Amino acid sequence: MELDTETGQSERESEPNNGDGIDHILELRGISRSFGPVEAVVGVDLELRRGEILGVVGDNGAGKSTLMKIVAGMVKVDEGEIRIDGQRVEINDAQDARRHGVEMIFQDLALFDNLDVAANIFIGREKTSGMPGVLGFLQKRQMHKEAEALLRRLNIDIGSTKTKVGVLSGGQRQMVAIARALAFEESESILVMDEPSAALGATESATVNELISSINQTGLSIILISHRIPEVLSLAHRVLVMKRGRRVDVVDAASLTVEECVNLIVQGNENR
Amino acid sequence: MIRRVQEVLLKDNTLLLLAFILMISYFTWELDYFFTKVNSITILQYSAVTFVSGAGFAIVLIGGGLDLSVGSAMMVVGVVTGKVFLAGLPLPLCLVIGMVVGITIGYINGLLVSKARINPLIVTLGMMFVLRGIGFDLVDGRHTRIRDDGYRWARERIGGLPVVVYILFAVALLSIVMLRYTKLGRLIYAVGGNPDAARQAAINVDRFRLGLYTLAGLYFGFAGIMLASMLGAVAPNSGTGRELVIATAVFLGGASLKGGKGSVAGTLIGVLFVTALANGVTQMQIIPEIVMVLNGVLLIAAVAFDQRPKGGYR
Repeated sequence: MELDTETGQSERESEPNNGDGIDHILELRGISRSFGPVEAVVGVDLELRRGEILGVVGDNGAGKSTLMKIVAGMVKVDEGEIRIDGQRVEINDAQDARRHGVEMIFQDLALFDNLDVAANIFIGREKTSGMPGVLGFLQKRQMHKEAEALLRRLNIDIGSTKTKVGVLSGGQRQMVAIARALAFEESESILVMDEPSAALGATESATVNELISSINQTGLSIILISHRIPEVLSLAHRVLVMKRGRRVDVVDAASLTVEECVNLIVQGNENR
Repeated sequence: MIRRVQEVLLKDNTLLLLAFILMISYFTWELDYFFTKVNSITILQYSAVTFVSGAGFAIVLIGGGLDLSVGSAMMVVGVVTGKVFLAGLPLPLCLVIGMVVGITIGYINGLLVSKARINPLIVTLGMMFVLRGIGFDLVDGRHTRIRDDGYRWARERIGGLPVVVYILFAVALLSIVMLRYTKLGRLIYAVGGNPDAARQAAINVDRFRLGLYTLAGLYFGFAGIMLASMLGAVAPNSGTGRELVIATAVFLGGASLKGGKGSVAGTLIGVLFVTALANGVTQMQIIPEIVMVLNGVLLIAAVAFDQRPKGGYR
């Protein structure tokens, strides 16, 4: 791998591609966020191309999750700008993020064990009739029907949508979280996934990865955070490497080995 | 086979219902006047206030909160309602004022929990004492009878049944429908079950909790004006100790300190259970304090059952 000694960046895909005809659905410019004295994210640029899977890797404390929480509206940015479809946007909370087509699947999945699969899929967006607002009557049958159709479309086999999420396996819970994120997504949307296979065994990981790949093929743009480098390299088109809150590099996944990726994570730009 | 029996017994309130049936059967066997029309109506009548306040208590608990100020809130509502009635205001206005007091108490509890982020156990325990003091102070600790038939509306009967029994069933029906079939009910279970996930689902949890405590205040206010009317008095010692009975009934009915669990239907069975228990024990002429002991034991047992480890105690 040849390095550009002036910029310390690789010859591969590392420069932001403004004005060269590449269609970016999401752009982050100079994003910074601190928590007291801790600089979680420092001046990070990120470009997500329409329809791609962008892997985000880095050691613990690299700022990956904080950066994604900024995109998902869970954390406010201190500095920088966010552009979606070329338009500058303000994302102050999760509702703003949703309005701009961003859905995030958190590492803990944010599921409700005491509710069934359909209820989890529609949480906060329930179909109601009769009275307005929260006093509306739940259209339970309709929601179960739509949930079943959604799971069928995604080839997810959970059994009944009336099953309480608390009794599902880790892999099944991940599927429900993915289905929920996609239930209201359009193909021109952004899905952020934080460690989707972290708690899963080999078989369940493979199933989840297949699902991620297949939904990407429908045109969905995905940002994938993961510690599992081989998985990221097999799924992603490009990989963003972060270290200590900063962007190290963005490289084409197909031409990156696991060892090279680990070197970037550990050493950053230091040995260039 | 044993596993299947266990599954059935642990489903919803099956165990409680079974225990209820066994208890009724025992008292019916032992006592001549237990399972009679008159005594059944008496049990329902005495369950009404406990149930209406218990429903509010249960809803907060299901939503992940806790409100121990229920008894004191009911007392203050009753005292204020009685005082304004004695001051000459028309009864309907007095009842509205009482309800507003209840809602305000709930709102204050909600503000302290959701905005000031103080632990709900501490907030409502503190409010319990604050309200008790205020209630006593408003009437200098004096108990005053109100011999007005209009004020004692809760003692009236329609078709042979006390008015409060109709209220019990109406509140039960409305509350069950609300919790099971509306978006509000769904969100109560969601926020109670996993408040972090609720936040991530773009639900404003703080504002929701404020609304929940205010809703509980509505229930407590209603229970307070019912109690005041049934007593036919301004009674600063009313409501004292009711927290124990209400909590016992609600936890027996399946609610959990962890939130996200329980039901108004279960609370109704729990209320009928504790009321029938007190009724039966009284008829057996066992010392009345034993009822308090039994309530305490039932409360501990109900919470221990809820918090049992998945594989059971070893």
